[in-house]
Amino acid sequence: MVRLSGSQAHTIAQQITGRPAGHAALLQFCALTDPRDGLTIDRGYVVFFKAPRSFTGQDVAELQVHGSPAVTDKLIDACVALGARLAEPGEFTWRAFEAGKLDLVQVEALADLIAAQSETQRLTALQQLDGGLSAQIAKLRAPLLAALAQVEARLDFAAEPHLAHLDPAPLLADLAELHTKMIELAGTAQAGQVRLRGARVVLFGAPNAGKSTLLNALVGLDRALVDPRPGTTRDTLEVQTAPQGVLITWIDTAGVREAEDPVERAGTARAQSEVERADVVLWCRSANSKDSDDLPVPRTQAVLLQVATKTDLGAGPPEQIAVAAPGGAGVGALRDHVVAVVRELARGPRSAEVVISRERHRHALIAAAAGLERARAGLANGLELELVAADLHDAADELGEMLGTFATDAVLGAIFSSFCIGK
Amino acid sequence: MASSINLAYPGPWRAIVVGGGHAGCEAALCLARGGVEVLLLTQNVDRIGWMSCNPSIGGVGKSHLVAEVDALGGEMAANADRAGVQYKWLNESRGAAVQALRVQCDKLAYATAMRQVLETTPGLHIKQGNAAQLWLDNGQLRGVIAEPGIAFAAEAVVLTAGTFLGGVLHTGLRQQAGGRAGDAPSLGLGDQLRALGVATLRHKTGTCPRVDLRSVDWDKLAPDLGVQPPPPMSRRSKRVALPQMACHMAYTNAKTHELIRQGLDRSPLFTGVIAGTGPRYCPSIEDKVVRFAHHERHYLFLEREGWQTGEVYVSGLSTSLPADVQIQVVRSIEGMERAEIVRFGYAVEYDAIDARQLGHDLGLPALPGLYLAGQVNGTSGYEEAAAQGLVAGLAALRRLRGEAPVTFARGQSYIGVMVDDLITQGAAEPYRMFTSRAEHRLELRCSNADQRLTPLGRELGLVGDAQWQTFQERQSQFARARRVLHETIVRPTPENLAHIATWDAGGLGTPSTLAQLLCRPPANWTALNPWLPQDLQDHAVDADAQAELTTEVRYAGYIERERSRQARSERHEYLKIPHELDYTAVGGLSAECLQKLQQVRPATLGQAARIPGMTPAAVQALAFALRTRRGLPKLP
Repeated sequence: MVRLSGSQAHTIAQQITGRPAGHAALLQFCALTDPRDGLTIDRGYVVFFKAPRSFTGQDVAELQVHGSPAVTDKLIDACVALGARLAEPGEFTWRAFEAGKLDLVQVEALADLIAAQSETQRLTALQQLDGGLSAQIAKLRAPLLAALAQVEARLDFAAEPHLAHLDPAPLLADLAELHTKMIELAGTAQAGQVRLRGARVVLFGAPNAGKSTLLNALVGLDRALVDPRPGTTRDTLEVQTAPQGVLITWIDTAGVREAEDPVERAGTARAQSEVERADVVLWCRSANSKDSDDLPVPRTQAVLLQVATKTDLGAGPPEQIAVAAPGGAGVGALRDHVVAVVRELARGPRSAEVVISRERHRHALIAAAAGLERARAGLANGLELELVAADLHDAADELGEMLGTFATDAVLGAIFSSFCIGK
Repeated sequence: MASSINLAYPGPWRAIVVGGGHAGCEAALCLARGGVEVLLLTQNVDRIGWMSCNPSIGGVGKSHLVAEVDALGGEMAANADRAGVQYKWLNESRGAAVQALRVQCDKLAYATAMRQVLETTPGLHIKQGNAAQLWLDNGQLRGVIAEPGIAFAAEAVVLTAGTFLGGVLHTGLRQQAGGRAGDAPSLGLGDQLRALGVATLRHKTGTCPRVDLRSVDWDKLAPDLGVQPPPPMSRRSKRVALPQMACHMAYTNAKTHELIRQGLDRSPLFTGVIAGTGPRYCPSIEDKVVRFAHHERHYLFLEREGWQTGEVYVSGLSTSLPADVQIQVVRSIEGMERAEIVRFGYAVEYDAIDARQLGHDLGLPALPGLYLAGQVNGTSGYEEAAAQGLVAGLAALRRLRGEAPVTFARGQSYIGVMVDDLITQGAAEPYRMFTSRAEHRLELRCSNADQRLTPLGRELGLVGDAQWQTFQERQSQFARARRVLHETIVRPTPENLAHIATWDAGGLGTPSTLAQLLCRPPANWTALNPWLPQDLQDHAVDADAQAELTTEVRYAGYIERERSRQARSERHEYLKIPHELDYTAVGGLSAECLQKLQQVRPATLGQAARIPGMTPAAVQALAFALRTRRGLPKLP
């Protein structure tokens, strides 16, 4: 499909298709002709969209042809000859943003939607594109602007006797509630990440615990080099699969031990850093060896699953999931278990209607919450109101930036609509 | 036009200021003090420096402008100290940056004192005459033609027409032409400006009835004496000149509101007779009663207009209701049952120019040498007018001295905020300063206006020797105090702990600087006495300086955050947009943004970002174009 957007989009498409632009959003069958030589390029369809009721907010025409490079090249060539130019990457989205059709969060969601590989990814991105997240941010921002209006009115209209006093109690309650909501939304980041980018499942343990063998069994491929000698895996290895439609990145790591060899030590450090950013850690310990016994419990925020490997050679403790990778015993059960855990992670906190999926959003929410907390503490401790205002502005700006908008006019508007001011 | 000239009046002036209001006075003083002879042409010399509406100078946001004008060598604050009869601190507990002084003045004393300043300033000439039109010659500005055909030549003209362009006064459904009650409007100038392609707006403002002092039952009203002793508004004033007086508070009531509602059918505001846009923050009483119907009462302040007059200003009762309604409304108020109105309240509708056509120097690019300042630019308030008068006067001065224009940045002053707001966003309604308009509010304090601007004022030749010397003395004291605060370390010795225990139970864990001690809430300057050298102890440093130094220390962290917040959103604040930029070649701009950019022609990217309706994406597109020089002529 070739899409034209801009003031001349309709004129150019009309010259090629001979169809009227009046029938907006209607699929019209047509012959597509190069007006320079009058020869037909292809037969296909044209759809016209009238500004502002189009994706970009401009006049848009979409030309649908058979997808061969020869046809599309010729068609684009004809469009350019009639005054069009090739869009830069993301330019249609840019124009939609420019026209106010999408906010920043939605632009990001659109990128996610286009890149979606799994059903969960698609649904998450679509929900954000539909404005679910934007609406959630707006819902957080509105009471914040209302609080700011309360405070700003006291600062700018000091001569008004009826604005002389600000009762901090209700404001403090509002801010506390808002703070909780922000932290909650920020807390959905892992769920969002898991939905959009899949879960990172790290295999971790002592050398020769059988991690690489287990990885191969879990993904059903001979991806990792395996050998009975300890220390075969020197670097991390990632394999992505989607068992039961759940996107998982399996990460094999080098075995962890006190090592002299600098390469092996670097491998250990990498393993540690993988564990820190993991969603699930499979803590692998060989059932027939005592090597792992003095290793400390991995330091991680992730879900920790204890796995007893090589159970064909001996029995592991009962709290561990038993696998005997080469023969495949227990591997299917482990995979199912991981899938169930990842599904749970993707579901997120129970109260979350909408999840965030980007670091940018999480940072903004955390920063906004911090500003809010400073404002709350300042208000509670009787700090000067202008400092409380500064902290509230910090918080509001963070949320505004998330959507790509800013506050000042909105604050003044809120003041005027809710207070009687005048001398 | 030249044919209407009867007399070309010769004179030594190179600049003319049209109008003797608050903008005109500052503009003329700035020019004369800067060494350029100037003619102040006013319709009525008895109205120089006249307070046409309320008798007060200052207030939140406004006093910030006044302090800045003062720091730059302007006259408003010093003149308020010559005429001030009641001083009031606003926002005393809400923080150093929003704290403000409001000075109720003796109206006649204010005008007389200002006139005296003008009349004793060398190089400042005053003439009475109604400026009928600009004197143009082949599209070039040559001066001003006053009625009846007297032409005054000048290379620069500062137009401060106030509410006089096409002014119409309304009381009830009766109208009469006028710029102010008792003064004729200016009719030709507005038409001429429009003929030159200048877009104008229709604004509205109003004033309250004045009542006779003898007809008010003062015993029934609560008095407010103001601050004693009154703190001078200007850093140049040694003291406040006049004896102080009280103002009194009164309230409207249900009966007042009922009377107002009954009169609405004869209100020019509510019958659609007035088309101009009024200020939301300074509504008429009828506006307040209608918009805030659930309010049981609205408060009023009764302010006597001066020691030599018995007229009392009823603040809060601005109205254009018919005379008979005004009488009943006034008499419905407790304490005013037998009040006699001396002058009725009225609304005035007038032309303001769309300030988006002006540059940062308040000059009109279409007519080099012409500057506009004050209410004619769509603002309201004496303080906003005075600050613009100074900006325009300074711009004319720089032009005549062959110097580059000066731009006031938003991060540096409220003056900068106001000018940028006006020329970027225009004034859809009369523009008043608020502290919330300033992104750098915590830094832009009344108390540090001198530190922000007096060096600039000195450099520009506006700050006199006496003011400069006072400033330098204060600065050297500040510099020494800052050094001592940051370099003196207090260790937790028994002796030090005993001192600290007198004001803070918290003790002292680790060695701290005096600055760190000062940040602990109960601490004040006096608490630092044990560690301060003699000349910096509380008895040797004035309260003003103590407060300012304390604020500097306590606000440092907040100001840092404020700056970084601004730096993020204004990364490109000062990225200049060349005048020759072809916006159509920028790409990625919606038709709406394109039109706005072409109309405003912002000087910097920051200014572009503040144009109402500009989307973040458009600003990004512009930033990108500037980096890649898209839409600009090829570099040689």
